[in-house]
Amino acid sequence: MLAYIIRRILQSFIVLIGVSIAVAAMTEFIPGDPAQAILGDNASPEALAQLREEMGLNDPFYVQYWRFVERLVTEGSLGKSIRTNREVLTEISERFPNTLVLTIGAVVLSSTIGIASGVLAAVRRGKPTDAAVLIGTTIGLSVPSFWVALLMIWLFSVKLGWLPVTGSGTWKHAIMPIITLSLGAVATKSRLTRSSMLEVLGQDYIRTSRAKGLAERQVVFTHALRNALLPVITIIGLQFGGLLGGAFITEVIFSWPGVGQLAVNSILYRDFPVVQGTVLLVTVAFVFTNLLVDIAYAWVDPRIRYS
Amino acid sequence: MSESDSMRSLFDDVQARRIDRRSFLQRAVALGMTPRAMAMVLGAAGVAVPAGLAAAAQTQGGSFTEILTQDPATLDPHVTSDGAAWTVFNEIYSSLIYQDLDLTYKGLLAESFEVSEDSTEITFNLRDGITFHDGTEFNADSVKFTMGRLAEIGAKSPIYDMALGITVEVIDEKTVKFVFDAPNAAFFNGFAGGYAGIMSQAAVEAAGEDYGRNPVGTNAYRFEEWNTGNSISLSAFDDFTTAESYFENTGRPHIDQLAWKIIAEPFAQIASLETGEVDAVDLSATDLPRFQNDDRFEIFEARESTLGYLGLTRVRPLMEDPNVRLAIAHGVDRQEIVDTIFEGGLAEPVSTPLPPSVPGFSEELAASAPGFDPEKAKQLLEEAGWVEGGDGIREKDGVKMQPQLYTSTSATYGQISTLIQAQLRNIGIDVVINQIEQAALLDFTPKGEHDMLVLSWGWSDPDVLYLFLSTDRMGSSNRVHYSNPDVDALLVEGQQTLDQEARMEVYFKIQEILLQDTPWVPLYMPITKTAVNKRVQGMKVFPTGGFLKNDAWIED
Repeated sequence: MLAYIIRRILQSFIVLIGVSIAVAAMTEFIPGDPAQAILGDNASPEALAQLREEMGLNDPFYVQYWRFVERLVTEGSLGKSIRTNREVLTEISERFPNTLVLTIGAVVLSSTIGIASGVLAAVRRGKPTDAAVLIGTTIGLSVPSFWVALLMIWLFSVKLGWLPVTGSGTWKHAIMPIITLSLGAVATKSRLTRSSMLEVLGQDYIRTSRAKGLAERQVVFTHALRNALLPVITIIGLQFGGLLGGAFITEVIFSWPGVGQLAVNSILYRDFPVVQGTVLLVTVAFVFTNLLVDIAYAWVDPRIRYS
Repeated sequence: MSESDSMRSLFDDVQARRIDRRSFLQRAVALGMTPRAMAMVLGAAGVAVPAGLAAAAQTQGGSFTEILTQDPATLDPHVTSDGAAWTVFNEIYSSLIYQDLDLTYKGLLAESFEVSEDSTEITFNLRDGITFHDGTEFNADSVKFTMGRLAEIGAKSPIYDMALGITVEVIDEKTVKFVFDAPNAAFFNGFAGGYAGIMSQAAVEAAGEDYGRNPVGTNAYRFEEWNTGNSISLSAFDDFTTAESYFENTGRPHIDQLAWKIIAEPFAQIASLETGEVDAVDLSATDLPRFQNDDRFEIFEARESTLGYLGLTRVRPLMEDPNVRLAIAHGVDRQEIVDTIFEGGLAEPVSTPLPPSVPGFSEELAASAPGFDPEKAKQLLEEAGWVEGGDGIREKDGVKMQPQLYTSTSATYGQISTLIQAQLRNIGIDVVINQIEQAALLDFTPKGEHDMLVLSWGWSDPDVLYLFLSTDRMGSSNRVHYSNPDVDALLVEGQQTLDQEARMEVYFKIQEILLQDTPWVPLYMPITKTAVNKRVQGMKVFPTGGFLKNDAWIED
């Protein structure tokens, strides 16, 4: 197992190198000039040329990329933000905890509701409960999350005055963003849990456990659910990784100071070092959560062996 | 006796002068009246309002919260062209001079200033007893230090021009002289306000790399806290003494705290105004009617120093004929643009290169400038040899009149472009609209591959015409590739003429030529309408935008 983990980590380095080269190359081909962004729309041609030279923007991307790698290896720095002139690591680490709060909140909330409703729908297959869950998840999947976000602001902030509209800092600020993020995720997990449960409930060993007189509760939760959860864990892992990179729309609507908000602004401003940093963060998050998912597999299903 | 009866009897007693001020105050306090209400009752009864009460009426305390649509890059004025940054650091820093309500320049940190006969030297006499927020003293050395720092940052500073060609001499502790290589009339505009804020050397050195997050100035508010991506707050500077002359309160501001919340989403902005989380929001045409009829809010208006224009690239074959450009100017109906896209009075039509909010605007030129006249437009196009083809689109020598119009992905510019497309279709011009993202657009225009451009600029000095239309700026901000040696010479003359009246005559001549050459078809000047919560009292707004806060107070 340990050898497997080490190999996976080494593999992920190759992924990171590939992604960072891709982002560096992208900066060469995306139109837009960071020097213009700094100096404003009335800058003189001389000032623009001088600044481009000073910033090394005239060098081909592989030269710029090499500088990036050199700095990363020798100083452990991802470079400085063009816009704010602060270390990219500082910019990201200031926002990452906020993104983590939303991610964990959304994953916990959506997993709890999603798995519970999925199990319920499977156990009561064909009954009104099943239909209710089906309708609920269909709505959850088809309604655009930004629209629900605006609706919640209108109801909970403007009409009822219970929650602040935007910002962060207290648990109240996190409620609406977490619900918004959970919406689609609940539906996916609920559907997946239901179909996976139905499959497992039809297996011979479930009949056996019922036949030997186990309580239904024990059959469902101890025997069936544990096996049915495998595909759900994969989805949880993927969603977790995706959310860690920042929930762009949700963070912008609720002015949640996370990585998504930073990424959007940096792309608009052509702040390439920060774009590079956030892309690397997303990649690390994906690679890492996938690794965790694989390890969790082994724990949930002892038949799975890695070598 | 009910509360309103007690109030009435108290009021009657005051009117009839049956009680003295002391017992009035005792009864008023018992009734829970605010100091402001007490002052009003006494004032209405013609009784002299005690000085303490008058001052207390404008209660000290509270906070005023505005919106920024994005996190500022930094609060160091020397290294950013970011609008959000300016909004905040303008409250922290003050300069030697300021622009008065009549748009003239007066001394601020300088008690007075003299311009030499040949306009190449300005001597500033600095005020005594001013300290920075960090407690250090403001003097001539601070001015020299600030200008020296800007020169040192060099090309990396968007306002580097302000330090170019200037030598700063310290005459004595309270006198400083600026020596210019050539007279520079545009200097005053750049040098008034936050960008030219004087810095404390001690603070700059103490903060080092982090100065952008630890700004120190001399203005009414000092930096307090910055929650990245979330909010920024400033607190009143107790030792503040240098308010501009348009304020009655020349000392410490009444409002204790200024704050900004970073909110990009328009719906969330409006919701925050409704819930009281913010006190002021710029309104869109959609929200305007609702807030105009809501007594909880007051609407403030300002005419922005901005011109929205349709640029015509003269170096492109389709646009090289002056009569074609003039025809386009006659084919565009600005009034329709303003009425449909800026509904509710959120813009005014403008027909001259300088809008009414920028010095140099001329009523006379506005009256004679090319207006909407489709018949004249068609006639000009016929004369230029562009005749209508079977599909209603004009052509000449087998080439169709299908100019490529470029603009950014902004919804407003998109709507303006679509309307212009429909208007010009009526005179036989088939405009093709291309919308590309702002940063990409600014990178694209220097190539000169666009026939038309819908964009706007914001600048408060007529020197803006140099920035966007001079040959010097070809390859960057001269996005319409306009070049006229006569205009170039006049633009330099405008920069070097310090006498206001003479200077404005120069810009009159420049605009006369521009109206014939038509590098721009001027379209509109935006008007900001801001809803402000009425708990904020005594607020004023600068004619071209921005709250003037020193007289304002917050009512509980």
